[in-house]
Amino acid sequence: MKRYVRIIWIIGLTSGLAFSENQVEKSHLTADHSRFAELQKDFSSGEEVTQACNGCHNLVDHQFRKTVHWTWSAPGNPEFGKGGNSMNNFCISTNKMHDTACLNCHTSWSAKGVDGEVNCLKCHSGQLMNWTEAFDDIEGLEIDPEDEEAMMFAREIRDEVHASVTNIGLSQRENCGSCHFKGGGGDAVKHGDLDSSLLSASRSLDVHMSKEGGNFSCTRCHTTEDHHIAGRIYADPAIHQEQTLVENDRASKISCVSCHTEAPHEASRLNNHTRTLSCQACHIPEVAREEPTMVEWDWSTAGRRKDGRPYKEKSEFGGHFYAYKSIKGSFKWEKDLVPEYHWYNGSMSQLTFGDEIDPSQTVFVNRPVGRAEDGRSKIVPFKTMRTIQPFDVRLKRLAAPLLSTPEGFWKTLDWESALAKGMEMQGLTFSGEFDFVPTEFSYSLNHMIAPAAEALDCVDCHRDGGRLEQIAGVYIPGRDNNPWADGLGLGMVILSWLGVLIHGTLRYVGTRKMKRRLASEVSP
Amino acid sequence: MKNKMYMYSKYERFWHWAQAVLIVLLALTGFEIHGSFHMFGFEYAVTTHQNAAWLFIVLSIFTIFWHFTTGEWKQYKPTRKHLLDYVQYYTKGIFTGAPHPTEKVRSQKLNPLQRITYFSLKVLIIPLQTATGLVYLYYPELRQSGVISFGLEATAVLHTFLAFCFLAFLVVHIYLTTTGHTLTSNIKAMINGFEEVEHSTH
Repeated sequence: MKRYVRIIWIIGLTSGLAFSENQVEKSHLTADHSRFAELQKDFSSGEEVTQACNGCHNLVDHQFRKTVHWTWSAPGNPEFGKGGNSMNNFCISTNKMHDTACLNCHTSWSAKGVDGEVNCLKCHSGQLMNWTEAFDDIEGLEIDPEDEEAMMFAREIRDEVHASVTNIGLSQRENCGSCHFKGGGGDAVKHGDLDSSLLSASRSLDVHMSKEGGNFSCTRCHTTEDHHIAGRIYADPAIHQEQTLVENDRASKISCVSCHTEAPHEASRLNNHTRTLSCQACHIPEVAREEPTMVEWDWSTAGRRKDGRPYKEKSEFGGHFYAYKSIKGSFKWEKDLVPEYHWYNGSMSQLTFGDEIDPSQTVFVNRPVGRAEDGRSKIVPFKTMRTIQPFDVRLKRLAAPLLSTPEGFWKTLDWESALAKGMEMQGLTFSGEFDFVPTEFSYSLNHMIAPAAEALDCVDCHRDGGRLEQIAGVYIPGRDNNPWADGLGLGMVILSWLGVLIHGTLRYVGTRKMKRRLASEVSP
Repeated sequence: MKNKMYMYSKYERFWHWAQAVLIVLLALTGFEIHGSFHMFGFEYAVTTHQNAAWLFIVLSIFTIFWHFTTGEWKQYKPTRKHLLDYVQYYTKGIFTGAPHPTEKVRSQKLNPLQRITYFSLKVLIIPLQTATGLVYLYYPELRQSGVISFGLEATAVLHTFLAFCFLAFLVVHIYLTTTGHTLTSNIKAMINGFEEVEHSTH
């Protein structure tokens, strides 16, 4: 009995220890921003907040203005990037950052773009709010200091701003997600592997980000150097060389290999796959597992009116998942989307508005670069977005409509003027003659890693018509065979059967005949 | 009149049946991996194929040792002596109940046709199948270290073709067990060691 009591005690103690180990949020912060005197004031604009930040963080402004989050252009090549002449096939273009709706996601105050001041709070405040609106409201309410009620409201808003300004730390999921979950115009629209379901991810949705798993924030993998955040893919890959943290503890942690190494499985047979397959290929079995994601967008149907007015129609998924919007056209959504797979060396080839297209075929707005033979590429899963979008018929170039602002398509529903304005902002000519062309855009899938038990099975690829049916340059047992070797081999086996059958029959007939002869020789 | 002769030693019988089981298992799992049918499930087929292959290799090493220590390897030396007699026997005589051209005795278990078949099996087919299997198993390592420069496809295709050779052999081999003194005398001999033969040498 005593022994049992002692065992129970030990179990209780150790599990208690384990519990407390897991429960305590480890913090790496060495400063509590709510106690800084610089922040104990009534700010009247975002820019003023930034000044306070820069007062201590004296390198940050210089650093941040060089990053992609600020410039929206590819490092070293401003032609590429959403602030340049690159595009996607959702809202197509930011019109060189002139389309103000796009700038809601820019890291500047009041959608001012690169001419404005850096909004530090967007990424670092633990209490997000619409600061610009708040400052406008405060200004309006405090016009008449005699109006007690208005002043009280203003005070309330000021308190809210104060709480937001002093709750500062490393970027959390909510910070990154406030833009990155909403790419393409709303939650879950663009990526399929990035949406608000990650805010409180279940284990099965994202094994790293779930509470039961690692409870990782985005920055756990998207590590930072001089405010450059690892992970952005242009022609320049997000990772030049996969390194484990053992090889280089200062390498970015953006690749799975950083922590999991090149041989993450117990079975060597599975580890043999890591030379050709990305981790994502098996460990992201499907995307959009909780929220549906957009897979098709037809801009050519935009502009219809009902009773003279623009209208919307919901899809089977409800919410903001529309089937039709006059200002945007028709959409298709999908849940539990099976990815498409390509050889990929980490670079994307990207079309720009200056490039000539062949409108008789599907236009690839971007394309994963890589071949089986190049020795660097792996098979990687992608979400493919298929769109029908406007192009300049005479100049044979994709065209960038201006969407928001009073002159944009969303207000006027007039393609001709929206395209003319948009291309002017883009700094390119527009012939005035336009039509629509099917395009494709590929997003590499890296998030929503499922637990190992929910990864793909062997036969998802090792069979005829499996997921890698279209992947060339690699021999996959179960999918591939050599018709000559198989035909010859099978023929040999069939001939053996036939030979045996004929030989056996002849033996049977021969011995029967002989027995009969023997019998007849004996009987008379 | 029945004459029985002790034909196959214990180890020989053990080797034969262990090899038979392993080859059948390797064929079943191998052709499942090849995509010919579904039986064990792919992952299980792969693991089983790999384990059976290692057992086969171990068995082969023991058996090579046995062949040389007992001198039994000499039984597999191809010979032209009585070769034509046996070709004639299997294409003519066997249909009229003619006796085997030579007697089967412990020291001369194999006729010239068997010698050629088993010799090529042991010296060509099995080593080649084992080699391609090992290359298949360690392909990434071998390729990366530059030991080999050919593709996985060539390895896989040859391995599969040789598997078909084994299948064809199996069909003919099983049929030919019925061509002993009686229909079952060969199989019985491989089970208990004693074979019914046409004449006793004693």
